[in-house]
Amino acid sequence: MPTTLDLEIGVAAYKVARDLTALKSGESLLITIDSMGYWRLAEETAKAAEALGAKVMVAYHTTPPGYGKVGDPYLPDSLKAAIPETDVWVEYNNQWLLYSTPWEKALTDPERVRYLFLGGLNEEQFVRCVGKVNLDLQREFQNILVDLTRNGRKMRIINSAGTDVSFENVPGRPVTNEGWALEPGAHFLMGQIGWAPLEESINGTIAFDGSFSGGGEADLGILAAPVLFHIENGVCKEISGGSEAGFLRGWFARLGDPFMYHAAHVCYGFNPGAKLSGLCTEDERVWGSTEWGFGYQGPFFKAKGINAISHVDGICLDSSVWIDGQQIMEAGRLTHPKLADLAATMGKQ
Amino acid sequence: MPAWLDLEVAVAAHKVVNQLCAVKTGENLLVTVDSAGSFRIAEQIARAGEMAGAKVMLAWHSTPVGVGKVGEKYLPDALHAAIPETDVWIEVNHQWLGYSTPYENALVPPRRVRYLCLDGLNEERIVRLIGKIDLAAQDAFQSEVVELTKQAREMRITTPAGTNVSFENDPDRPVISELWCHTPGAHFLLGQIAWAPIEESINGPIAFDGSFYGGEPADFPRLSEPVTFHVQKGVCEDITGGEQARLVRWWMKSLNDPNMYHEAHICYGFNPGARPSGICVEDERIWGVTEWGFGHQGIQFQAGGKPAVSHLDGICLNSSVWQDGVQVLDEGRVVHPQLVDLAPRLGK
Repeated sequence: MPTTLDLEIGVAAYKVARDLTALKSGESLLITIDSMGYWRLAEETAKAAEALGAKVMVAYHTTPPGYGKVGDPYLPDSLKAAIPETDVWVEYNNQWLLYSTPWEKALTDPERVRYLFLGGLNEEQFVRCVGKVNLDLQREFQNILVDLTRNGRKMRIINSAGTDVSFENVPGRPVTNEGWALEPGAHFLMGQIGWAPLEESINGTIAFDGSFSGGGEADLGILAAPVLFHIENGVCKEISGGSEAGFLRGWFARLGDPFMYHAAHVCYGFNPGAKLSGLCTEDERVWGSTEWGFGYQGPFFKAKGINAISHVDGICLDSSVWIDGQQIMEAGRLTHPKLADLAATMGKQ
Repeated sequence: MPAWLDLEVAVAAHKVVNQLCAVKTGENLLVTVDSAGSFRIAEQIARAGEMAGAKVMLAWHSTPVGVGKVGEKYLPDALHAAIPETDVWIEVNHQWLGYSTPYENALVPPRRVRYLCLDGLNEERIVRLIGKIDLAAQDAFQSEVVELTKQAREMRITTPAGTNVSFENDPDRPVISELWCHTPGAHFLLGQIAWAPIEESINGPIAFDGSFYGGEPADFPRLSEPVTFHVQKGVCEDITGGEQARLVRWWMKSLNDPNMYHEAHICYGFNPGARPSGICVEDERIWGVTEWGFGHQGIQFQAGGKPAVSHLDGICLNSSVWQDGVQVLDEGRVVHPQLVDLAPRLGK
């Protein structure tokens, strides 16, 4: 008996196996999903991979009480052993294994494992953010934007909530282009392009008006009022706004780690299916948003490597962006001619 | 929405985790199930493991195309890595992972992993063969049978189908009682007691009238007439019967391995829930059967058997058994004075 979205989930899962991870016959596929994740995604991806001739294992396991290394002591030993021993790993966990010890073993200096992070997505989000996306158009759009950004030096971003921040890019630092897991390494849900600007060049105000995710009690979800980070030379000197801003001031102070105030990365959000939902994975890909991370800086940014105790992400909706004085976005709509044409084809103008 | 036997399967799963495997808080539990196995059983075992405080991983994986090393190349690499790294491994596969390389890495020799094989069970079977069993009564019964068998030297078995075989036990060889999975090593579904007699002491006809399992094309889950192995000094010298006996003769010859004719082990079947079903794991545990294996002899028997290219098992229904002249079974019914009071506790 079919259930809701059965066919759509089947299509999305097939895209993951065939297109996003390019599974080949005879390759080993590991799918991880904890007991708080959405099992149907894992099951349908396993079926698609089996149809492609892969050797498939779904590891359904105890949900750890936190992300990354916080969960290490709660992971079954078999899972730790299994993770580095596969060609492709697709993660559907609710409590992410990203940055855990077995993740590091598999993906630090990656030689084999192609890892695709799809953590936290439910059935409907999976269909919207993967199944319904035209992959050819998406790839073309992302590639153009990555090239523009990589070649740009002077950046400025504003939004109607009060963001007005300028910074400088560092030639040689990578601009990540998320969506496809075609080579060994960590890859994430499509529609995110991220990089680490020159840290001390970041100055101005960042007004988060979408959602805010800091883990645990600092997972504020969709914000009731903007939270403003006032940045000088890459460091947040003040947090202002309403009651949520007040909570965050206290939370940051309690962490007691000055590196938590350091800007770690900026990202564009350009997944045509993403909606503001309160789930960070989806929110940071809302079309036309920009997203800033503070605190721990992932090694794949090849930047200063800020070694903070944790990491937070905040979303600035409907951003306007200038690269070397040329505006590419106006309040979330593309103004760069080629990108605007593609966006229109994708139904996003 | 509840599904058929949901409550009963959950009870059986709890027995598996808490009693048969004695999973403790903080232990690592791996449950493997291939895509041809029963996922419901695996899922319920995982839930019971979680309730017991274990760190649980359920590995649901591609079904290999064969058993043991034959299926190895079809197993995902992550499964190879996962199997040896656990405290308890419960296998609910359809295609047995036994004798594969990850199995050997985990269990030969046993170091850490307590392995319980529950292969081939569907929901209805796990309820009958585990869920409904009084484990304390089963333990008392099996322990007594093991003690009696360990002490016995001269054995004789007959069946109405024509079995009339005698042999001698070696007091230094183990009598393996399958029930608990409390120590590192390989353990199997409850209700089987197995040992290897002194091979050259085995003489007489063994008439298989239940089922016969040699792997395709020699799997006969329902024998239409007995297949009789005529054994002299532990070696089958002739196979008689009807069409199925002819096929077995042809199959044995095609293997081209004289060691396949050598007797490897004998077992009692004493699972009170087992009934003729056409799957080996259940048939060989039918109450009051004896089961003989020929060909490859497992190392667990610590006996003098020979390696062979394969292994076959045949079931003799309604067995009568004498140990040192004292009758233990009469056509499948327990008659030994030390057992007659224990069997009724199991409904037998």
